[in-house]
Amino acid sequence: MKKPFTENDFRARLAALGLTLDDKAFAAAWAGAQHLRAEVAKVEAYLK
Amino acid sequence: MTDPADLSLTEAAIALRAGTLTSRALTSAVLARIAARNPRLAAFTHIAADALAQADRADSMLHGDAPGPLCGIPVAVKDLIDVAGQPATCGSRVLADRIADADAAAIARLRAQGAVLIGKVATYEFAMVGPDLTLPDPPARNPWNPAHITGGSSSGSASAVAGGLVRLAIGTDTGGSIRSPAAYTGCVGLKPTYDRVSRAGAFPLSPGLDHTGPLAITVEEAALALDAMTVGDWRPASARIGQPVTGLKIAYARDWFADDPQATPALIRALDEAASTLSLLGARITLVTLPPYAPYEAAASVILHAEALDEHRALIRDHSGDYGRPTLQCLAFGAALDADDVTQAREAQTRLTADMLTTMDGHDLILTATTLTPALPFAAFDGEKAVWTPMRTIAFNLTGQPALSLPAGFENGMPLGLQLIARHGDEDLLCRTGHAFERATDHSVQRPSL
Repeated sequence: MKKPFTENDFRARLAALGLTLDDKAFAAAWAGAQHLRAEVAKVEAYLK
Repeated sequence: MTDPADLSLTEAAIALRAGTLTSRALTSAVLARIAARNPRLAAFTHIAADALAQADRADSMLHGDAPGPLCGIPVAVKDLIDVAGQPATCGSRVLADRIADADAAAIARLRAQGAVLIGKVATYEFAMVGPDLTLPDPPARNPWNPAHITGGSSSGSASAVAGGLVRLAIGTDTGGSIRSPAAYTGCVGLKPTYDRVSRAGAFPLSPGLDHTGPLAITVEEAALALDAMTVGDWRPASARIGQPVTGLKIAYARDWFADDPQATPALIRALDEAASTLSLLGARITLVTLPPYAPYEAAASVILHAEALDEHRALIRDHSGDYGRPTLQCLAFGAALDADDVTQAREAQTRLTADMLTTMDGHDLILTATTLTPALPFAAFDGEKAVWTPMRTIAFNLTGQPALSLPAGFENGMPLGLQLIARHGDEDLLCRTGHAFERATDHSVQRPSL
């Protein structure tokens, strides 16, 4: 089973991209990232 | 006498062939129309300096062998698609100084047939998200009420067509970017079958979901434009325009929108009336339950965000400060995905496409909504983060089926759209049905007063 994707994981990936976001932009991006993880879960549920 | 800028594509083509109109006169009229209306609508971001020279070339082509229907016709192009010698900024500071050195493949086909590539029209930044009022180009405005958005990302294409600046514009559609602005502005938007029109020379948002297609006032104009851009052995979209729809079997996917609390009562009423109209025209309408929408949206979102980030990786490294905030945030979403997620989404894409085609067994077309509401006002967008408007479009980017949005009525003076979907390659059926509906109603002949 995959371990949950955390805010720290997300920060690390953005840093690897060379992407620095201010706090407000990061909050919006993190909300979008969580939404996208929920979309991944829907795909997994469909494929089961 | 009718202003040449108001002639339909077919009326103009007849006059051009008869010699009662020249492309130079038509192009001059369109340039005058753009000059008069664009300050209010911000649809065009660039006017071609050589527009009249292109028109003169078209006039000489009109005397040649069998000029195509678009010969001499001014066409606007979304600023995501390259037109040689014209700006190609994708609506972004990131590419602010970029000029295309060659035509995109679809545009080259239009140019070869004598279309006048009159200028570039606004796009949401990199076709990702909008409107963003902080970008250099102001957002295109809805001709029915300039305080409202056009939708996007083919925002300028829709505004230019609906506002009567041009009869025809080319857009791109990755999740509904042709169809939703068409619905919001009361014009026709045709997303063809995946790969029917070359994507070469259009800046990719998500290569697995990207489509290039036309926006126009009428279905016939959109069909002729699609045929002019089509590569390969496809049945012409315009081939069956004018044929009756008697006996066609249409699956009415009412639950996809009517069960969603975001759908407005006027939209539901408009779609029910459209189903009734098609029935009166002789089509056989059956209520069907399509596969649930959510997995389609989910798989498409995963593919779109993963591919978009891949396309922008290098630009982000060097130019992150030049992106608009909503676009950069949306691109960042993709960092939440890994390769396994994308593999699964593509596996789901194959199965979901098969599910949709199985549901269509015994039917020729699907009828459903394009968007669930009319266009929102600009005031609903704060410029800080993305605001998503509810629509039922991205499923058919995922399946690659052709889909047509056309006017279906109004709510508080703002247009509503319906969507027809066919099997892959059945654009002729789609356009035949759309044209019949258009002729049986007055939605498409109503134009905004500007």
